[in-house]
Amino acid sequence: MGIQRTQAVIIPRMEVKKLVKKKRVRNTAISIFTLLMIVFIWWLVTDGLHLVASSAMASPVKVVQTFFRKMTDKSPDGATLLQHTLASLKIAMVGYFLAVIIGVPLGIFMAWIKVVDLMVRPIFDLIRTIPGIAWISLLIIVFGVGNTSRYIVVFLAAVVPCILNSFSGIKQTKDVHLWVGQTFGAGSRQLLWSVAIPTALPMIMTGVKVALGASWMTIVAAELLASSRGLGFMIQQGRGIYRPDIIMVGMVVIGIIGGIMAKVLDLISKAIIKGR
Amino acid sequence: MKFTLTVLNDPAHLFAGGRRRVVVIHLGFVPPEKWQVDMRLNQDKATRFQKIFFSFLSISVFILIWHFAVVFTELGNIMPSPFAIIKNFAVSFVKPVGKHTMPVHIAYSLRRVLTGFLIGSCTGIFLGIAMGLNEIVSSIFKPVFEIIRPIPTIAWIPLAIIWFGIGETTKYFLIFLVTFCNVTINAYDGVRSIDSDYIGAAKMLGANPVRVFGRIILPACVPYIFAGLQTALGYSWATVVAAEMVRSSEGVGWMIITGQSANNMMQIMMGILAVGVIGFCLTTLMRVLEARLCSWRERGK
Amino acid sequence: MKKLTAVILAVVMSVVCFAGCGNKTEPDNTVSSTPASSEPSETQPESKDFEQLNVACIVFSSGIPVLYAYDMGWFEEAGLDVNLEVFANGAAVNEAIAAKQIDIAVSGFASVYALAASECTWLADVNTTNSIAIYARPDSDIVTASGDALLGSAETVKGKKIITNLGTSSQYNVDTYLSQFGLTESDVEMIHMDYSTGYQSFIAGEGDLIATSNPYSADLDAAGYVNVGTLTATSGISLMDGCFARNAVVENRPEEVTLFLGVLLKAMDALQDEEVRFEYSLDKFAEIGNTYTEEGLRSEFTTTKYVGTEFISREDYVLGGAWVPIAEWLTTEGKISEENLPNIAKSIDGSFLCEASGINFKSYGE
Repeated sequence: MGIQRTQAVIIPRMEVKKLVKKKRVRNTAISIFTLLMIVFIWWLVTDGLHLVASSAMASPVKVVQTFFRKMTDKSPDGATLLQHTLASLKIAMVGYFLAVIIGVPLGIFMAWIKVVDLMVRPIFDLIRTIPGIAWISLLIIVFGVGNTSRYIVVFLAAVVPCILNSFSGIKQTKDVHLWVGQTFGAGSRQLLWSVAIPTALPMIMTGVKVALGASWMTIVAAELLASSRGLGFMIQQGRGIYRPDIIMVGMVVIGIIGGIMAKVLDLISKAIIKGR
Repeated sequence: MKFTLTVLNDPAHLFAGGRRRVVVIHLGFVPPEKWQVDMRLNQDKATRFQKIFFSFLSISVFILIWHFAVVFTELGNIMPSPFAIIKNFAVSFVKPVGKHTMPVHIAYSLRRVLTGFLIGSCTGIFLGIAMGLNEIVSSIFKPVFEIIRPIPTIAWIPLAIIWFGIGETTKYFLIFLVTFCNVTINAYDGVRSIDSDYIGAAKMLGANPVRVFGRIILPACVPYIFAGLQTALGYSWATVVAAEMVRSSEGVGWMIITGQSANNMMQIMMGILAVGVIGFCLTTLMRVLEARLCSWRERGK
Repeated sequence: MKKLTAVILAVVMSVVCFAGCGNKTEPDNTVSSTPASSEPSETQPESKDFEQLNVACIVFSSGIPVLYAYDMGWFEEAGLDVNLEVFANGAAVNEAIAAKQIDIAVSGFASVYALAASECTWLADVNTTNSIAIYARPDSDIVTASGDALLGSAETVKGKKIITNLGTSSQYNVDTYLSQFGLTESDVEMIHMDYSTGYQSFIAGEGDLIATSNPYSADLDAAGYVNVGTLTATSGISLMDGCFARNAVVENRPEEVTLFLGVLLKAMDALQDEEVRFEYSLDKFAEIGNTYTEEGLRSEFTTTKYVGTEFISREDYVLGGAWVPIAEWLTTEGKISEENLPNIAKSIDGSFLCEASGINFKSYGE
């Protein structure tokens, strides 16, 4: 029943670096290979073996073709790809900024002041799980056909993570720190600004990141009713007129932009947290 | 000094008022006689009574404001009064909306969500841990994952119909996607959060891989996984409306969608009420479940 | 660890049971359960030769004959094993057809896309569509301008806000209306909304014109709004909702197709009786989620007529006459590709209905 001892091996530093680099190259290669395999299988299913009709699912070749054509072609839905993308971005950004501006302070106040928490939380918990699609026709009737209803749908989706994360970020502030601050005679407001919020910042930034994802995901739902532009609108129009290539282009563009926005926000938040 | 540190995990759980786990550290230089109790500052632990009272109060105020808005302003032309909605909601438990009564609709939706949720969670946990443990698995699946994640559920519907038809499977798939994306990331983060030194140390001391997994990795993942499950459940329930856009004739999502196309505001509001209430119950259930399991964890330690 | 495993196991088991139990009472995909066909997968139809025939219809007037025939059990009498699915609009039907989930569909304007994709055959017309029209407010300057069936002029229409359901026959209605004055969509502001939301917004004051269909057309008529151009007037074409099927089904299962059309014709003949039609439609529409008022339904009978035996016996009846002109228009809009345009003319085939009805009418192109 002896204990098996593993030999401790001492590896020189340069060797370690080389190993790490090798691994990274290997990993990237695997990732690229997997993606290529997926595209290949996709092509095989559509254009190669015709397992699925081209009227049902578009081949990668067609998707790329349509992507470039739609840059300048307004048919069949009345606007170019760029116009659609900008329209969607505008709605997502407006709703998102509103959510951050309102949600983060609200979350902080709910965590800091008990009464606010007790009053707002029950309503919040009930409304939280209701998706934007459910509200949309209601909003259109109340706010008319302009963009306001769409901003609100995106706002509702994005404000939830903002509030949740700001709330928990503040709650997580170590009592130690607050106690120390209090000992030095800091008032409640000073405590909030100099102790609680800085400590909560990483959590708040996570919430802001999640909210961006949520707002971008909601544009398709927001554009279901009463829009004439937007990536979600483009996808909806592509359905049922036998244009699966337009649907795929829409999905791909949504995916890519979502990914880019997440990366950008990642960099920004790292910078902010480092700065602090 | 006896200090109390609050150890918390994810926002959703915390926000919903879960129990905060308390880790007590005592610094040896102060004699116990001098310990002061209740140095906690963030001690806004509202009593149960206060919570219930204020919930009641705030919901009542909300309903009253709504009611007066409907009665005294133009809002009444568009929206029904909350009392009418609640009354119709209760009536729908006996009188069918479409072909079924409200409980049946809720049951159909719940079934769809829970099935998709279960499959998505199991796959997600499995894949997330695998990705966290093994770099190769991570390199294979992570890029695919990053591409799938930002695409909204509704955008998946056309593809899902081609792959799975217009029946129940498509709806399960759509819910599966939502759950899978959330849970995988959380499981992955959970595994990655473990200090590799611990694993290294355990291996040095002779623990075999299974023990390493069971004793170190799994317990460390559990809070992350639970956080992921909670958010995933919330999102899955919210996605049921989108999922039921794929040809359904029952369910709370169906109720909202047909209400929208028929411009039946009452039906839309009833559906929204159902979604909100059941969503609330689900998240509360998850929270209670986690509290139970985590209390075990604390004792076990 | 044990307790954790036990809890997880309990949760898993209960959900699996739940899901399993739920699956046994799989929601009936058919709209109504007549006593003889409550669970299509369990009943044995008289003729075991035929596989399940997946039929689609939409929640408008075109769906009523199919639903009626289904509820009366006539499909079963004919030996067909019909699985009927109700869709919200033609686009959803097209999606299901493309995914091969549906074999035969009764649908509207969106069918042109299915025909263009060269995968479907137009088999029968089901109803006329004179309720598709554009409405203006009575005080609008368009109304005061001259015209008989068509009200408006280039100056009065230009720059107006038009509420349309893009991608449907209403858009076609608007486009042809605009072209009467030499205008295009870019000369006006098109606001896209589905029919019901569009109607609500219009009567609440949004938009200057609305292009819509029943039941809203009837409601607008009753409320005193002015009809400035029906689809027939603006385009010169009589659009008909009707029945089409996937080519694979038409080629491999011709007997079933003929039987199906025979039953459909029988239903349309039965619904020529206004009282029968009224009683059935009122309840059925409510059940499938399309609310008509009684007056609205009555007025619909004047605009939307079923193409029964008497209709197709007429001298000048041609099956599918509307599709090629519509498709040509859509090609100029870029909605149908040039290479697909010829498919339309090739996909109109009235032979099955001729056989089922015993009447030799002409199909487009004959």
